[in-house]
Amino acid sequence: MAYSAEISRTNPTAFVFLVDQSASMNDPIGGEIPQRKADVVADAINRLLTELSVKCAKEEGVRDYFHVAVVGYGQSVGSAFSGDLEGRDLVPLSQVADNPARVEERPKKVPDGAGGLVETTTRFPVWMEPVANGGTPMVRALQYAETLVAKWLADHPGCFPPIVLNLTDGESTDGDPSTAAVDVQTHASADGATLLFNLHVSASEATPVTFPESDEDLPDAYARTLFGMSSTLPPDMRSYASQQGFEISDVTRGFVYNADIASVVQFLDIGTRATDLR
Amino acid sequence: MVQFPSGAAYVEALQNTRLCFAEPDLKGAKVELDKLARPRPISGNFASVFSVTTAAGKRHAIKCFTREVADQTVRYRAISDHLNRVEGRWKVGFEYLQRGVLVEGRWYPVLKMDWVEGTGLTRWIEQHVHDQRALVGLAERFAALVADLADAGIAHGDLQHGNLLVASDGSLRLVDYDGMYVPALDGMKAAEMGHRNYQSPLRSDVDFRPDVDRFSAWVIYLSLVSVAADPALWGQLHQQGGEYLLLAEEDYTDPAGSSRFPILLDHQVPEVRELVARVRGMLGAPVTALPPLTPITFTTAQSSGTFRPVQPAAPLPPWMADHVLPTEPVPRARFVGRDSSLTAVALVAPLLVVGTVLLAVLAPAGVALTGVCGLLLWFASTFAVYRARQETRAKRREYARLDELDARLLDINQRLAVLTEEGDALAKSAAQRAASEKVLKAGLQERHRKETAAIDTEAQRQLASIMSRRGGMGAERKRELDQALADLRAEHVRQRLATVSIADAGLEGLGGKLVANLREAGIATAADFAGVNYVTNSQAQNKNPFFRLPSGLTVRVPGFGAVKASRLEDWRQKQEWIARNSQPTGLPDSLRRIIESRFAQRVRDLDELEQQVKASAMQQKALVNERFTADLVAIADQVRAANAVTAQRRVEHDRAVRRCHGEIEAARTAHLIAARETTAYDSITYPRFLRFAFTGR
Repeated sequence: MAYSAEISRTNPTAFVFLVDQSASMNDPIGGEIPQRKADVVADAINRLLTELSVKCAKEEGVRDYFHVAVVGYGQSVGSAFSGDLEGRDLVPLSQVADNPARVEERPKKVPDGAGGLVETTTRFPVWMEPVANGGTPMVRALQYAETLVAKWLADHPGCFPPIVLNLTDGESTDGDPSTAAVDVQTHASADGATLLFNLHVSASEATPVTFPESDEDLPDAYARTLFGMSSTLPPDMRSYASQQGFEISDVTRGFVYNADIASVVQFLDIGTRATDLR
Repeated sequence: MVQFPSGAAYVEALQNTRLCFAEPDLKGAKVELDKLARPRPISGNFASVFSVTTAAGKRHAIKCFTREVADQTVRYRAISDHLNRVEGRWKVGFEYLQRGVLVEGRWYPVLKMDWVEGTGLTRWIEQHVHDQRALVGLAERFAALVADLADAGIAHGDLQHGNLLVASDGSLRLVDYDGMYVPALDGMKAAEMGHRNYQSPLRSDVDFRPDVDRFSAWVIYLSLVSVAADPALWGQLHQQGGEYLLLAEEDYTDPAGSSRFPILLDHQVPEVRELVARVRGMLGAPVTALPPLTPITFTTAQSSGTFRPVQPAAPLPPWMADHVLPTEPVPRARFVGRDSSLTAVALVAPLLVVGTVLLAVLAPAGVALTGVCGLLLWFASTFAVYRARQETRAKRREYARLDELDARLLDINQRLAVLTEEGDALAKSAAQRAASEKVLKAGLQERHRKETAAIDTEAQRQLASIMSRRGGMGAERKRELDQALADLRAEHVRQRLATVSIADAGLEGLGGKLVANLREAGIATAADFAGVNYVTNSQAQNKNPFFRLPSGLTVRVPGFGAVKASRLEDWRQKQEWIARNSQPTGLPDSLRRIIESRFAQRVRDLDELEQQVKASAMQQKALVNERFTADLVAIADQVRAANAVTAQRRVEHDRAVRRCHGEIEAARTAHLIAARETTAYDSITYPRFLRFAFTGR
């Protein structure tokens, strides 16, 4: 059965995050709290990297179950890591965990459990900074991901297939991304084809469309293009998503349209639940 | 369903233990931190565990759950109650706290456990791989632990290397009771399925019974005993960093394709062979039919009675070179058991020598030759005795074994060479395929580009024609308006002229007769003729006037000479001039509108044509694009399928190569041992035998 390979240190898999850094990411995201889309996405990626590090932390340290690339596309296309990892593509998770660009002291008001709020600070590691300028060269970004994935699979033919997660807010400015998306998904391990999931961040108040199974209810051709570019969710992600309360079928795609803050986090959470870790 | 916080959310909450804990001794307790000075988690599938030290200095493992476990409270209460009634050093004390940890304003349960000092099983084995006594001891203690659990009606549910800790005194601790079965939980489903590398391929979550640990127990026991018997197996079968001991899920699901089973099944130590054969036999059996672990009996670790382990020989593979103690020298083989017949044979020799010498001096050459023959015969027979000696046979056997091992190594190396060739061929064919796909795709792209360009060119041509027609329309419209005005004016003049009667004009010299003649020719008013042509008559030397009718015909009117005709023409021109003075200066609006609307319609027609051309081009392009995309997708499907096949082949190839390397390592070790053992027979030679025959030493 496909998408069931063990993920372990001896058989790791790869995550490639493609992050739209075009000028429009400066606009506020839809929803109640006005926050720049670029900030929301960078925050979500930083949180996810923390989450992955925690998930893979064992007695002796963080295990390299995953190798992670964060690729920005806007003015240029390339690694979006800052600090010691700057310029690097797929980085073993243990190195990611130990090398954030900085650790922010964030003041936070938390419930004290007795109905009140208390101010406390938390340490928040930051790997990528929000960036927003230039166009949306999605085709080039997908081709970049394809190169990373192809190289990865040459070295790891038996791995759980790599997962590419594309987070964008606008139409591609360098051509129709459909064929580039198809090309990414032609690269396969013995356990299945590379997965490509897409998330569209909204600037409007429109209701998010999460994990649809057809493009019927999508508002426009652009949304349908992104839907067409997205892989169906493999079994373990389906069951996890349905545990999270989503209506899921065999043809549900890894696609979110008009995402608000909460659905960005959910998308990353579900899209990286490859399979149980050991 | 309750959503539990993520591991990272717990890491965040535990940054302030004064806030996040309710238990008095945990409030403000110190959490062990990681390199980023954040709480350091140890995470599993269901939970993250943190090391927390209270003000009093007591260290706890605080387990924070990241997923809901069905009936967790009930389970932990039942497990806790049951464990309280059971003895066992393996137990780890715990307390299930309902109001455990505060995250984002909500309380979640935690498991507050005693901190266990111990080494994980994998690391412990790595540290003790050459300590046979320790390994055998651990195997025995493990078997005893499994028996204790069975006696107590308990199943751990997830027996695996990560849940077995070895304390400094060598005793085992069992941790992580999330999936534990105790009798009070009978009828529930398993909370977890256990580690994939330790489970029978037939286990399901309905298998929640006192005997669910059996398969994993056999797997762990087998591994401990095998490594004790042959430390080289650890290097051959356990991949560093692998989440298993000697056998993994792929071996259970596909034993025929397994690279590890054959090495164990063919192992030279019988105990290893027997144990692994039992486990191999369990793979098809339903979980409920698996036998309980029955440990083998070790006389003692050092004795070589029932359990004769393989001794490692130097030089060793690099991974174990550090661990190995210098091996003792091989005891040398000697000839033993010099019986009387051998002594007798030996004694014949001096007699023969003396006899031969005497014969050579005293007897004729022929007789002396007999003596030499006797001597040769003696050498031949002693050599035959030497060859038949038990010591010599043993030596030959050792050398034969060495040859056999040489042959095996050669064979494996040949197979490896074939595999390497196959691997190269695989890479080459994949590269060729990728190249031909590129060509195919480039061809499609080129065709698509040409088709799109052709559509564009044709559309441009049509649009250019439309554009030029539209451009000419302004001049045409002006021309038409001018013409309409000219027509209108001409008609006005004509009508005016038609009202001016020649008869009424009273022109000089134009009497009734001439007027009548004119009427006869159809000319009554100024409108009835357009002018006069004069034709010179050569005979009469005068000019004859011909009246030009509006129809274009000319007519001769009797009685008209050049003079009168000219007068009439002048009159007509004057009348025309008068008529022109009152002609309209512009087109009436109605007429103008008719013309304008006709042109507006033509512009609209052109606009529509332009839209049609554009739409048709777009439609054609859409069709071309559709076909292009379909072609690309079809290629992509093929490529994906081919890539998957290649990946599968490469996985199989890599496995076969690993298997070869394992076999080579095993054969090399065996070869080293055998080679070392042959050195023991260095003293088993024919000259030594002769010395032995004479001296008994």
